[in-house]
Amino acid sequence: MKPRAELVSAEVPSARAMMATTARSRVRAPRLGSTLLLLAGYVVLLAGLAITVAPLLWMLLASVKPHSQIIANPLAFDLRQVTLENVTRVFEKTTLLRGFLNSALISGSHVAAELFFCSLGGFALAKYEFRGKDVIFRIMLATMMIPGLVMIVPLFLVIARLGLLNTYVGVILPGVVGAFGIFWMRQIIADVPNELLDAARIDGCGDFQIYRRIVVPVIVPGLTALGIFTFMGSYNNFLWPLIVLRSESMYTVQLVVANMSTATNTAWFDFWGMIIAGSTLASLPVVLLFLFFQRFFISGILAGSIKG
Amino acid sequence: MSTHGAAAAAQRPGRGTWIGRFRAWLGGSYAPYIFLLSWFLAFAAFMAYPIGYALWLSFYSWRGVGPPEPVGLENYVYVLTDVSTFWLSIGNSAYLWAAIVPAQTFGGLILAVVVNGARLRGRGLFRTTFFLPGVISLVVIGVVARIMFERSNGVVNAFLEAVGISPIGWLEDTDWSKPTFALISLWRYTGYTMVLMLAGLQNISIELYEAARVDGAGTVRSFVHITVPLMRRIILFCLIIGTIGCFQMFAEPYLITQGGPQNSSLTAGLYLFNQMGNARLGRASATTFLLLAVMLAVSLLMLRVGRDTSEAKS
Repeated sequence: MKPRAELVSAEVPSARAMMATTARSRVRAPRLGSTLLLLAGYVVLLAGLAITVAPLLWMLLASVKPHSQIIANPLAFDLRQVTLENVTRVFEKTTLLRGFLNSALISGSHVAAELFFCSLGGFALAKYEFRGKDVIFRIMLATMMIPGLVMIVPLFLVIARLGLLNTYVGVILPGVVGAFGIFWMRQIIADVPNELLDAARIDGCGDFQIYRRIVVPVIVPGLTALGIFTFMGSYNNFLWPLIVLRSESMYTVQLVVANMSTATNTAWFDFWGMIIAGSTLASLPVVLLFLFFQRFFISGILAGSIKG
Repeated sequence: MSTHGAAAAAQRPGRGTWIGRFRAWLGGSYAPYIFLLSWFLAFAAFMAYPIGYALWLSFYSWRGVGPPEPVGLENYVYVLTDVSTFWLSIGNSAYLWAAIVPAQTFGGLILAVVVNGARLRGRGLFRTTFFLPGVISLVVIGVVARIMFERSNGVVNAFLEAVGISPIGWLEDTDWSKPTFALISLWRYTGYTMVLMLAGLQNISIELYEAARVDGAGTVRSFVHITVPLMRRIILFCLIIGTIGCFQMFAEPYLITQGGPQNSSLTAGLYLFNQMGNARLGRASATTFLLLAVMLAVSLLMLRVGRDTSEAKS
């Protein structure tokens, strides 16, 4: 059994990088020129770090700062004045809590459907020879290259025709299976040894049983990674739910946050604290997910780069 | 290639009958087709049919109710002659492209080279932090940036004032709105590009750099003569996804300026959205295909230029 097949492949780059580090530092004796360059490198990186972190830090601190202070004193932060008034205001004045439930429903459905359908499809492409496989493969590749914006109007027309505007199903349906996910799972299932599958077949397992009993248990890391990218994409998506959903009670987290900013036009200044606190709350799930499962993000980006 | 599907075919009953022969022709099993059924359906319903339908509708005038009225090429002509908004939005997107994509790509490359440096400590910390903006939603970035870049009370101008620079009308001034969006995009995507580049750098063998060093090449020359040529494919890939992403920019201008002031931040993505909002569905369909053509043309051009330079150098 090789439940770690994906884990290993995901870690290869960093392992190689570590080897590179030790090899290089062994060979190269520090010289003045390279020390200066290293110093310059640190300056670039620290400047980049400051620019990256400063807005996030400001947002985090502003969400626990008294609302009046955000406007009167944007650069100051006083620990003694830390307050949750902005956060409580979010829950009193907006449907963010409901938004979290809606997002959980929509993104949860996306993740569940994508994991099941893409792993099945990936299994078919990885372990079967069948007529038309090449054509299917090529069409999938082509669909991955279509920019998302191009699909918006066509999809809207179809969802409207099906009478699914302003329904959860309308938001969910176009995202239940994607070519990227199938390719991703195909890559991972290709590493499952054929002997395992043949042994199961000799024991009398049918095709679906082989998938369920042999394939699924050994591809859990690959499924986790796909689940994470799917969740991220679905949870952060804005344009599609914006187009499909009309009732505020069905708004996803992103729509609720966007609405805080756009629906308060004249009184916008009075809501800064609430908007910032809502934004921080909305970011928490993805930031935590990212920090806990970083490795999967990096491997997913790399897979994304392979497709191009 | 022996796959386990072939083994399955051998023990299946019904060979020699018509249906058995059909199955053998397919490759021995219906299972892969059933396993891919969800994708077949999704492809038909949410890719092929919608694109075909939108293409058909692009020759009709339709406002969402009643039967569509055939108008021939009128939608395309309307959009292509709409200099004051459509071409303006393409121009704005091109401006944003020039301000974002080269800087993001080469900034990402430089950061990756530095992070990949042999003697650097804290590589993981830098990689994590630089990538962090990429997981935060565009909605959050949009609504918070609108507050931070606000002219009289925003934190950005407060900071500038503290260091002695007079306040800037980031979002109110027609000359500043595009640079502001470029800054926001660079903030979000440079780290993402860096991670892509980092993966490519780790595939370059260290021996090459060692050999160059023995030959007397310094760090900068190694970068120009080893790193850049060997990274050409990844650089090209980053340029293309950056370009497509740039033309699709929608959430930021929608949330921050609604394309203003005076359409100075109206992007191609926002132009398309506005036509849908006005229920000009035939026209929105035509715009979709025109934008697709623009994005395809730019991507192919970049591929061509990338290929030509690589041939010239090798």
